[in-house]
Amino acid sequence: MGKYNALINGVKKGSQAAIAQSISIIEKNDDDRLELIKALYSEESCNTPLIGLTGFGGAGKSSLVGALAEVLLKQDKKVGIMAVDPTSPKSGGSLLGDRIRLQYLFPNNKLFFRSFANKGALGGLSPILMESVKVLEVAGFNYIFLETVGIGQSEVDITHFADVVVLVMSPGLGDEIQFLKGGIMEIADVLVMNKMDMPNANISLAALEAYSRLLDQPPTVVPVSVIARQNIDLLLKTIDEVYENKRSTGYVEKLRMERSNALYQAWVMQMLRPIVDQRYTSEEIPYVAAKSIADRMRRCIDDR
Amino acid sequence: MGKKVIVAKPGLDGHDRQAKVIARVLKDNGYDVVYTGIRQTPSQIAQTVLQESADVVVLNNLSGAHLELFPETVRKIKELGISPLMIGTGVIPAEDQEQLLNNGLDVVFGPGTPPQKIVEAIKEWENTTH
Repeated sequence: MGKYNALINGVKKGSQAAIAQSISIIEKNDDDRLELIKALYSEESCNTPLIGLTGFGGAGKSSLVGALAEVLLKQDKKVGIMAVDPTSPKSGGSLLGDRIRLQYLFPNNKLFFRSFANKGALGGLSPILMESVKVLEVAGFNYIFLETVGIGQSEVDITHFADVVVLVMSPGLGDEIQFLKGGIMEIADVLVMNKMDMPNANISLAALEAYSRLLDQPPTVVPVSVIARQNIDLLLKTIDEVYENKRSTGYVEKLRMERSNALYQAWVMQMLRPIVDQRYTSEEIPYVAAKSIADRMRRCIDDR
Repeated sequence: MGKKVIVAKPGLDGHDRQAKVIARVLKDNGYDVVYTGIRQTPSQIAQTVLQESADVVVLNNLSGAHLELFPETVRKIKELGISPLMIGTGVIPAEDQEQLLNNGLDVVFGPGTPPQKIVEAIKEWENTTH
């Protein structure tokens, strides 16, 4: 403690400047981060429902999260949103375009939105994102939404992070075969068919409902039209029910333990990467070199 | 993390091809770019800059209201206790550029500027101050 007393107090009071600054410190790779994270975890924080939204690009995730936030803000709730967009594999830059969908809700001191670039971590949310969720928890937000880069089928890592997983789809993105594939479809708690205002949307909805009935624990299917503001309340109610059900059965607690473990692993991998990167030369056989360095590490740790 | 840039369009001007080109060029040069979309108020832009912890703000306006909107946006941002690099772009006549530079803008570009100039201005700022 000490160095970040004032900053943490600011976060606890809900100061947007303090929240933004804390996230920036977490994003930077230096010793400041260690001290801030220790300080954050020493604070009492309530369990804020963490809702993950995922789905194909263009399905309407950002607009939907905007519509949900709109309703919650009217109920005087504090809403935090973290949105991830892909990093360009060519330039390393990114165009973070989620914010544009709900910019109309600002200025608003009960809404905090932050854009993240995924830095090439396909299928996995960066640990930075998860620690940023911690900042919002300490700040006493009522709902936190995580919106992940829309890569669809393989984006299952969100399960390590979210209390409620919402998969957003839109008509015409695929037939039953897509639904039958493994992956995100199997772990979503809520399936949203967005853009129900589109022609023939009912056909896609019927296919989705037919699919969901085949699952062991059928997720709730909610037809939604963000543009027409249809069923937004129903979706929110469904999310609340799923969360409440998971909380009362002790599942949220279990999820949070798994999440800590996943976060530990993600940090370890991130910290090891630069160390192991420097120790590979192109003459070596990749598997042999990897096994050798892993064995050396194990010996080193076990000896202590 | 690369430097974070907000590209913002204050005012009622609805033409944003230029802003999109700027956003694209910055992305292609390794920056993390957040585009606010059109018709933003200075307060909306200021809160965006704060929440995103942006290093650089590129304002764009093509309607001629830059003398009112740009300094007002800078003022709203500074009120929040932050001071990113402020770049003004758009249809800005040469005689207005000086005035904007005297009113809080760090760099101003008028019509016909190659977008790469904006990248160079940011790089120069990074080299001198960060």
